[in-house]
Amino acid sequence: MTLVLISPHVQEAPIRTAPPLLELAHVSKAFPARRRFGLRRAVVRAVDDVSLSVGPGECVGLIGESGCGKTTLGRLALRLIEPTSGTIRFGGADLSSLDQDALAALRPRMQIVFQDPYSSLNPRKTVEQIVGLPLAVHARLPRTQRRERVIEALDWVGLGSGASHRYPHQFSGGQRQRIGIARALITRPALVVCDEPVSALDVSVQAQILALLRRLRREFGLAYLFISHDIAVVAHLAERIAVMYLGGMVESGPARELIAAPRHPYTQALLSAVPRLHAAPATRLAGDPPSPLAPPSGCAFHTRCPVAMPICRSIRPRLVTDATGHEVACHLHDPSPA
Amino acid sequence: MIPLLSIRALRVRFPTPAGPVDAVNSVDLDVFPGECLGVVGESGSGKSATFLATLGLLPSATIRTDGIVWKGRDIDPDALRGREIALTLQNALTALNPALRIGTQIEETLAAHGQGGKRRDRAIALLRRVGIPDPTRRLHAYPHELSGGMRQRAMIAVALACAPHLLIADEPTTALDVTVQAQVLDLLRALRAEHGMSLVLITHNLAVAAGNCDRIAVMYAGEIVETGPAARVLTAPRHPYTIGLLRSHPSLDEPEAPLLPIPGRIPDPGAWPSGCRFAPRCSRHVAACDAPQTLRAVPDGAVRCCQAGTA
Repeated sequence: MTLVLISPHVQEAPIRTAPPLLELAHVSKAFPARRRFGLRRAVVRAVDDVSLSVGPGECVGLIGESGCGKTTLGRLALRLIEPTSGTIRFGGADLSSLDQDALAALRPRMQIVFQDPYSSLNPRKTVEQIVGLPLAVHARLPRTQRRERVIEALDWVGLGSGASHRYPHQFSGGQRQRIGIARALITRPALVVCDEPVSALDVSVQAQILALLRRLRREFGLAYLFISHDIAVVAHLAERIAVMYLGGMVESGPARELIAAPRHPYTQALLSAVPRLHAAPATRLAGDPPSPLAPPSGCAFHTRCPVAMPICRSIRPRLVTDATGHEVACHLHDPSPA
Repeated sequence: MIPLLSIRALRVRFPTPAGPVDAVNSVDLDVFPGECLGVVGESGSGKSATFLATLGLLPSATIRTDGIVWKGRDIDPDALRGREIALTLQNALTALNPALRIGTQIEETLAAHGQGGKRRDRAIALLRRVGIPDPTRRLHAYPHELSGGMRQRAMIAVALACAPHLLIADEPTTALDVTVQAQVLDLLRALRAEHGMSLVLITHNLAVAAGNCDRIAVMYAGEIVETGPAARVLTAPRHPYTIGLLRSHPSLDEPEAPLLPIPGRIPDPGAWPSGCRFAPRCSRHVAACDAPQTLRAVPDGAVRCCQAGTA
């Protein structure tokens, strides 16, 4: 296995030279959705032709509203679900071509932290069993060694060894999320998909978990695909941010630049809608996102876009990349419209 | 100015299998005509329980007060609820009746408060006012047929049915996507401006309170720890908990600013410390903190901390 060497300090690296750790190319996922009364078959294009890469040790934030496909993309990245089309490469290996054994050998290198710290931990298992399970599956270590590794992983996340014999219900939401993080880290992964890891937590606890995720990343050189609807949280952690709308990627680029000068009208609207502590509210989008069952033609955002042009109704904009790696799918930013 | 609503020394005690638990301790609050009061706190701080108790909506709890006064008179929650004071809840899907059409639920509210006449027309006007497109058709929709944002609007329409003087909105935007959240907050702001209605905005999100409220009350562990004009509380917070909350809040204006989390966590209700309830997590803890703290009036607000204003 040629896994990329990881340097612990890659906080500021907008232009990568190392090959990506995770690379999704033109990935699509369609789910069958039965129309009411089962008469007509329809598909939901949950993820539609999305390309995204995460470098070793890099944190890429994925933002968008409910139903935009960000969670599906996270699951696809780990091949927890099968893509309809497109390729997913991890550490150079094409995940879709791997057989079960080869995939299982890669799994310890890619882990996931879930949103809900309540439903993602088995209530009938002790913390030791929960955190040690990935080792039991992947490493087949004897129990005594497993126990040591569990206690070590609990220590990384700020839980004492006394936690290992207790059950999830004996912990608060923040502590449970620490257990979930320990479970993800025990196999020493290179990539952790964090799917809304702090969304269920109170602000003061959220700040604790964000600080923990930051520290662990620095210590272990972890790469994160950090999925969240909370843009301020993503901006706090990520070096690059990708924005999804109705299954498609509308913009991605260096975090600082994307937050300070968003290019896509949707990103602009999304950022201006975020409540701020010390700023007046700005422009607003009208309406709800359209149903993914019947996405609009052309640019999926044209029905809500304040600057839509006739071309936006008919032709889907392509992603245009500039020299800094900032990509945007918008006819306004395409120098040579089709 | 005479407050619209005054709550004095409100205490709420819930019976639990493990014995009674004090969820709210000695809360004093005033809501003035036309103002928006933000009540900010984390889960378990007692912010919702305070207002549910005020409205008489906690039948199982023991509620004691030194008085709840509405427009200068002692309150009869049953007479005011729905007519002069309305409430919207966080989860519109559970707050609305899933088996009744939206229109029926609005007309029901109008009928319950003795409003005759063309209730259907009034319901359509209300749905239109809260920004529900095609209101004549939506009248016949069931709650599950609406999106999250539309459901929250429908619930606001029910709450507005009798043109209340005070709307208590409990986490009105928490379950919503950010662009829809902004729309609902805009709607609440517009309704307040139109009708001179007062608004109590209960939220865990300081930034939501920042953009919408005139005054903010911060709650922690069943007590109010700080009140004051919103701008002052956000820019010059006095209570260490408020300071910690602001430092825990990732900001889009300064995304790279480090977060300084508050150590530890809120104690469980019923296991409150005997002195200052924030003391075990406070970096400025001194011996005096071991005694119970009172909410002291300070210039532009009040604070429950023995050191506030001294440092």
